[in-house]
This record gives sequence, structure tokens and C-alpha cells, in this order.
Amino acid sequence: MVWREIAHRKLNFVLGMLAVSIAMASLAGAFTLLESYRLRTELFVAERRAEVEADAARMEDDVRKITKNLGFNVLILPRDQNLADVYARGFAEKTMPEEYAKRLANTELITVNHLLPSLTRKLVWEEQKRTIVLVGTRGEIPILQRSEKKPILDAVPKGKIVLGYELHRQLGLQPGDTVRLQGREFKVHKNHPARGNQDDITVWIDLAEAQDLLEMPGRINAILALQCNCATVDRMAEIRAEISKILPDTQAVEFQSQAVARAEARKLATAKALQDVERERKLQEQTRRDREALAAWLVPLLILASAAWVGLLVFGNTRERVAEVGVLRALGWRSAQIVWLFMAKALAMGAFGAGAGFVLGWALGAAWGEADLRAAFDPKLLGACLVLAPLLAAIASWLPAQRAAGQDPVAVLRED
Amino acid sequence: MAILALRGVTKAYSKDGGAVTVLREATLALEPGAFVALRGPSGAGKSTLLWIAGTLLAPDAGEVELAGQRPYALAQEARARLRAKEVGFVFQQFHLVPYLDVRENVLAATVASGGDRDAAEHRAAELIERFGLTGRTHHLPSELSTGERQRTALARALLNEPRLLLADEPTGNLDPVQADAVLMCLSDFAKQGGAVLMVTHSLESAARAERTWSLSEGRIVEAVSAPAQG
Repeated sequence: MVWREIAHRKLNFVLGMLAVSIAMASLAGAFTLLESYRLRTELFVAERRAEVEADAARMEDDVRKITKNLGFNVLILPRDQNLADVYARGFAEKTMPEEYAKRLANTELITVNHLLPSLTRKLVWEEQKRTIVLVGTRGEIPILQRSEKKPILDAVPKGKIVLGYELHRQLGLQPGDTVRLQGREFKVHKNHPARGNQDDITVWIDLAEAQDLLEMPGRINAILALQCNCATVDRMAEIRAEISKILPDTQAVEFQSQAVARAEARKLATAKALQDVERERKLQEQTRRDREALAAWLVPLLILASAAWVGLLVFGNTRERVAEVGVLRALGWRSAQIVWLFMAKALAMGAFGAGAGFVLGWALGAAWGEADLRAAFDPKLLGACLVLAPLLAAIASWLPAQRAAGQDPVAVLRED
Repeated sequence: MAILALRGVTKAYSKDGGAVTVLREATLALEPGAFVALRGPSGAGKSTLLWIAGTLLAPDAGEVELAGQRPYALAQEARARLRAKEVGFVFQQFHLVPYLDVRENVLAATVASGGDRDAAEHRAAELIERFGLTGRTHHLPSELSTGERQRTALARALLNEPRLLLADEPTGNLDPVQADAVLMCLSDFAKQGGAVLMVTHSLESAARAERTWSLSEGRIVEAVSAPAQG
């Protein structure tokens, strides 16, 4: 009977179903859109994070390769040497045995390419009445287990002297000239160009001659390890570990190297990129919350409006069917049976409206949210729509149905 | 024992601030086999009496007994059940449900009685055949002639095998041939042990009843006695 009546008054049913569909479409659409947005945000953040991590890994690898090729320098000093004094003075005051350099060279030290022991002192050049820095150097010590490499620095031959820029410029000395230093005669071997640092007032002579001159035989105060290469990124720690194993009473500091700065820059760049990803995620999260807030009042409003519309339609339907209901009451139909006539129609209206509304909302939500239709499908949401819409229609129809059931059949029959 | 008995039934309507009494201590009894026509001028209270008898309208005073029960002492739902079981209505305007076909309209009465569905289907088919509506079983009321509509209404009234048939101007919209067929049905119903109370203005229709009563100043008086015609 309910289906017959629906077929008989199609417009009433279609209008009611349309109202329910709009409400359910708004509900399903809002949820699908929010879900699509969430999926998209997650995907975006995951992709960006993977991108940044891949970039960071590539940068790490690049840095490793670059620094491996470049190498960097390490200064080995006596363990009890205060580094602050070294930086203030320009050289170490404490000394250590020259033999340390040979010990390093004769071990399987795989990370160091060149070893330069030196003895440095600041003194007054008595013959020239000026303060100079005297560096005794013996050139490179060949390293065991290594193929022979081209020396990175040349040694100063015995009896020869190498002068810094200010010294040879002010004293007018040229290579081949003879000059006296603390009572000993040296021939100028080489003049350095201006460097703008302490080197410009430095004199380089053979290490043994310097030790003799300074009355410090067999002593040095620094070993310069040049072009240190390592496979890992944290190379300094690796070198320190190697050196401390061989020379426990020394310390190693990085010397004029850009590798650490480069690594720091890389880390900062990665952190910055990750911060950008996080900021984007928060922005999208905020947008999602804003949309949720909008849906939180818009969807209930549409549902209430739809319920009111369904109530009005059912009310109109009861008025149309006054004569029918009156006669059915006269035939002995009970109130509950009359109420069911209207409620069953409302439930059908709700169920069909839920199905149509869900499909519409789901499709629109997924399209608007640029999500895959299947990924955005939520069976729980469909279930909620199929329960909520008939319930809503039934609640909205309850009062008109009760009113219809309570009408006096005599009032209808009196019209005859 | 009477199927229907009204004792001292009084009913008044309020109108323009006053009360208009349409029934004054009306008393009647319909035994099985009774076919009574009720006549009277418009507004005399004929339909009111019919509604009271059909348990649709409670009297202000007096007693109604239907099939041994006092319907107005029952709760509304129980009264509806009693009505569905014991009373059949036939109206001048037929009052068929417009979107149901002949068969469904006839079966609408079984929803009220809550009877066995298969038995009801069987009886409906019998009634449809008996009233010459077999070819119209799946036609809507709008596709039927007035006579066919009234016969459909009669079949619906008889589906639950009531003991009392209340007919309000059942031939008012019918031509003489159709009216005759309907009156024949009512007469047959009475002959089979039911009781018929028919409200009519028509003298011809009233003449087909076993007895004719009229309402005068709210009271039932026996107007004319005529033998039932077959």
C-alpha cells in the first residue's frame, strides 16, 4: 500500500527524497572532502619529506665525495699544550719528541697523506735587530704502506734560509744572497710572496739546524698532517681516534679546513627543508580545521532544514489523504496502522535519499578534494547515512503522522 | 440476541454557541436477518445514528451494544478492532482508496482485522467474482463505473464477514439498474443472517428493506412496514 501511494504521488516522494539527498550529500560530501584533504595532505607531506631526505642523503654523499677529494689539515700538538696560547701566539710553546712524526709515519695510518714536523719559536734576529718567527722544518716524512706521492711541500735544505715577504723586502735580500742568523751563515734559498699574516715575518730553516740553534735537540712542537681523507662524514673524530691510538700524549685539532662548515651548512639546509615541510603540513592542517569548522555548522543546518522540509511534505501528504485516512479508520484501522502508513513512506524517503545523497556527496567530495574515488569511499559513512537519513525522516514525519492518525473519521464522512 | 441495540441514545452538537440535539433517547434493536431502512429529512440525525451504531461517534447519553459488547466502554484501539470485525460500511461516495486497484481496495479491510492473509485473498477473489468485478480486478477506482465502484465498496465491507452492515445512501449515485444490484446484495446479506441498517432518501430503496424507520425530532419511529422483496 505504501509503494502504491508513493507511485501515485510521485512528486511528493521525489521532493522529500531530494531534501534528504541534499542533506546526506552535504554530510557525505563534507566528510569525503575532509577525508580527501587529509589523504592529500598526508601524501604531500610524505612525498616532500621523502624528497628532502633523498636530497639530504645525496648532499651527504656529495659532501663525502668532495671532502674525500679535497682532504683537510690537522695540527698535532703536545697534549699539555693550551690551545688558547697557540691561537694567541701563533705556535705551540710546549714541545714533543721529533720521533713522534716518524712513529706516525711508520704505522698503518690510513687517513693521513702528508706529515710535516716543525719547531717554531719567536725570537729577536740579533743581526737585524728585529723580532721574527723561526720555523725549523724538515719537509715531509715518507709514510709507510703508501705509494710514493709528490711532496706537498718542499724541505729547506741545510745551510739555506727561506724568508717571509716583509723580511726580504725590508732587508733587500734576494735568493742566493748570504745572510747571518744568530751568528750562523745561511744562503737565501727562496723568498715568499706576501701572505698578509705571520708568515711575512717568518724565517724557515732546516729542522735540525733550528733545533741546534734553539738548543732543543730532537724536539718539535707541532706535526702538520696534510690532506687527511676519510670515507665517513665525521672525519675529524676518525682521525683523532687513529692518532690517539699511536700518540696518546698528543692532541689533534682541525687546521684551516672548510669541511666542518660545509657539513654544518648541509645539516642546516636539511633542517630548514624539514621545517618548511612541517610548516606546510601545519598550514594544510589549519585549512582542514577551518573546513571542519564550516562543516560543523553547515551540515547540521542543512540536515535540520531538510528535516523541516520532510516534515512539511508529510504534513501536506496527510492533508491530501484526509478522506482516505478517515475511511480507513472507519474500516477499523488502528492509529498505529495509520501512523505506519506515513512512517513507512518517510523511511523509504530517507533510505532512497540516503543512497542518492551519499553517492552524490561522495562523488562531489572526492572530485573537489582531488582524491581517488575508491580511496575516498568510507563504508562507515555510507552506513551512517543509511541509518541517519531514515531516522531523520521518521522523526520529521512523526508529528504529522500522529496528527493524521488522531483525526476524527466522522469529520470526513460528514463531508458526504 | 440483537446484533445491534441502541437504548436511549442522545446526541447533541454545539452550534453558534448553543446545542442542537439531533437524537433524543433513540432506541432500536437489529436482530440477525434484519434489513432496515432509515429515512428522514436532511439534518434529522440519520448519519449521526449510523456513526454511533458503527462505533465511530460516542453518544452523549444512552447505551450502545454491538455483538454483545459495549463499544464505547472499550479503549479506542479495542473499539477499532470490534468495528473491523463486526461492522461493514458502505458510503454514498464509495470512499475507495484512489491508488489501489479493486483487489487491493477489497483487501484493505483485512489490514484492519488482522485476519489470515491467504484466507482474505481467497475471500476477496470470491467477492470480486460474486459482484461481477473479475475483469476489473486490477483496475483503479478511476477506471471503474460508479456501479463498479459501489460494488467494490460492498465487497470491501463484506470481506471480514461482519454481522452488521451500515449503508449510508448506498444507491444515491447509482442508476436504477446498478442500485437494484446493490440493494439485492444488501438483501442477500440480511437473508444470510446479517443485519443491515440503510440510510436513504429514496422511497424505492426503502421499499426494498424489510422495515422502514424514520427519525422525527430525534426519535425513531416505525414509518412503513413493507415486505422485503427478493
